[in-house]
Amino acid sequence: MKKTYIVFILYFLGLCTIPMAQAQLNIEITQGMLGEIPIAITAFEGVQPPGVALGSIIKNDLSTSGRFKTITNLPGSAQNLRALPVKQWQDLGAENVVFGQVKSLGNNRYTVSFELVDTFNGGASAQRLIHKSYENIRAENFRALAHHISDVIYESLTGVKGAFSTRIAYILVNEAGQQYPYALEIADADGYNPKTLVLSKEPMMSPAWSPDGKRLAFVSFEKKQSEVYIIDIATGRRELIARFPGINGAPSWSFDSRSLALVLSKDGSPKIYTIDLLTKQLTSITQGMNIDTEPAFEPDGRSLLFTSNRGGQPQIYRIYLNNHSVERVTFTGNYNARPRVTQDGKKMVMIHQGSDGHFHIASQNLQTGEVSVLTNSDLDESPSLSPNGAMILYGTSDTKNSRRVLGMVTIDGRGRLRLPARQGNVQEPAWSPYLAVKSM
Amino acid sequence: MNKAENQSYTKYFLLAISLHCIVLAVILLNHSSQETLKISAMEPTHSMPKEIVASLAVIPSEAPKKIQKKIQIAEPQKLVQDLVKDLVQEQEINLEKIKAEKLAKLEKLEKELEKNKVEQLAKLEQAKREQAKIEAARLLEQNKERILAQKRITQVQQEAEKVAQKAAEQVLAQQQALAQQAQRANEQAQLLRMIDRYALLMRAKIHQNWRRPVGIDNLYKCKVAVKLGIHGEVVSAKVIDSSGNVEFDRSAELAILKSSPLPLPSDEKMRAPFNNFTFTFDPQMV
Repeated sequence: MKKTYIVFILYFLGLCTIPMAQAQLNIEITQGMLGEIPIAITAFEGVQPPGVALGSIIKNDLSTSGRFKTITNLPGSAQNLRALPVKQWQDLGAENVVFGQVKSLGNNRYTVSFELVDTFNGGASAQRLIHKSYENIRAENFRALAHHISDVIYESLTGVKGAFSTRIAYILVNEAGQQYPYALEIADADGYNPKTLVLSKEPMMSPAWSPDGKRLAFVSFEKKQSEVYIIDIATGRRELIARFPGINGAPSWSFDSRSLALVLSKDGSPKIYTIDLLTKQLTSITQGMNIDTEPAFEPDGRSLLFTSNRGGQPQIYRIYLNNHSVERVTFTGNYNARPRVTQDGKKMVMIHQGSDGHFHIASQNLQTGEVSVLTNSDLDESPSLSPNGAMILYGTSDTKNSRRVLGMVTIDGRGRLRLPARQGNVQEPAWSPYLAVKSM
Repeated sequence: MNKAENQSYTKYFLLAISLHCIVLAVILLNHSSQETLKISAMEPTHSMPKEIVASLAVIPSEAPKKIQKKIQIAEPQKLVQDLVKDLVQEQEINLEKIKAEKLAKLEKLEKELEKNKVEQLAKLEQAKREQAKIEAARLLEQNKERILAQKRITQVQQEAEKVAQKAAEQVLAQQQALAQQAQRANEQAQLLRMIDRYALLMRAKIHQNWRRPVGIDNLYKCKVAVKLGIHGEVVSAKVIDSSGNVEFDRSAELAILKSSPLPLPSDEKMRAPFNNFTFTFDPQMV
């Protein structure tokens, strides 16, 4: 009797567990198409200052970032687009849409507002993700505002801080009969608004932004020998940092702004030194008879990377500042030089000679050692990272190989573009850090 | 007795005779009263026949007393003869007595034996009777027990029958339960197959619609909770286990939203698992 009761109880329990077993269904999704965020940026309604169209600047920013794909064939005018049913946006493939309005306040001042909406969330009406207004904007600051709006959209959709409000520095070489063929210039990150800082008859090289973005260190041959200067961008005032016999070059700022790493050959072969910017005290970092150059501080301040031929061919090494112990960093390929590190310290970009013998920009994961080649033209040089680590600015040739121009590539190598060509050769680019937001 | 003993006895007889003569002489001389003659135990056995000698040896005490009385007689030879006669007579009488006694004893014994026999027979009979009684009693007991046993057997049989019947009923019930179980399991299996099929259909649709973010590592994964309407329209898709990357999370939610309506079975029972389910987005899991 007891036995049969037990059996029944077990059956009952067994039945009970069957629905339990399928308590929550979970389906695994493992595939998808890699793709940029499809975004539609409509023209801002209202009258804007002449020569400026906020929508186009934002569109340009986002598409050059390599993370967005802007949808261009938008039907109808701005007003119609606002009334467009969500379904149509979805059919166009837009995940997000940007609407904007400009209202003139007179006296060259405007009020600007914009909306970022989600077309797939929110059912019949698109879900509003962002809605912002900017009061009293001056016409001359419209570009800056556009870049700022791009930053906001970028960060909202990718989670990464936007770098559209940053600047670049470079050397423009214009040999065609100019008095001062060499110019040290800074411009907006999209190449607009160039501003000359230094004009020189002799070459200038290696511009390097200070961590606060207010100063530039650079190398000048104006005095027919190499010198390292720091220039204040706002005032234009210069300070001489190094003028030793032999080579003075490749300045690199420490992340705390207190010192500059330099290459000096005053004691024989080119070696790495650091100079304290307050005391001007010089500290010798590397030793030996071989060539050590192109230093770059790592974000934690405890070490720096540099190029050296101590192993035979140029490779990248790391030296610890406390005990001066050296370790090799690059092992792929016969030539690796000109290191630059991302702000999180995880990735390095460099010039890498590939198996085809050409020099390309490559990235190396500093944790795994994995190397990815990012560019494919003949001679790419001077890679410089955006402050969010998403883009690399570098020097390359234009399609006809007639001039040097600036190129940009995403850190994963997918998106590549060339900045608008200028007259002359553009070289030695340097990307600024995040800049303090100016009042607009 | 053998010849050697006979010869010794003869010697002793002669010795006895001589002794008698001396005694008689003494008596005759003394005229005295009777004198007890102490005859040794061995003496009277001399010329006696073997049987008497033997019996005399057995009953030594009586012989000397009898001989005492006969001694008051004159002539030694006659005395001796008489003595011998008397002795013999005595012996014969004794013998007779003894015989008689013996016979008597024998009889007695026989009687006793008889008596014993009879007693024993009687006892035997008694015993037999008692045995018979016991037997009878035992048989009775046995019978009783047999009857009881029978009763018990029949009881047990009856119970067994009952149990068997119950078992049979249970088996039937179990069979029915099993049949129901099997049917339910069948339905479950069918349901699971349906669920699998629709899960695959959903998966395929979402694979087509998932735009994976560029520019980020392939290491992210997240889990999204989904609520569907009756016709498969996506009512909500919300990340419950974030990947840590804003764009990855959004792309997962969007993949599901873009796939609305998701294919659902038309049978309401089969839709149950899809009332509240999740997707895990994990590009590493290929």
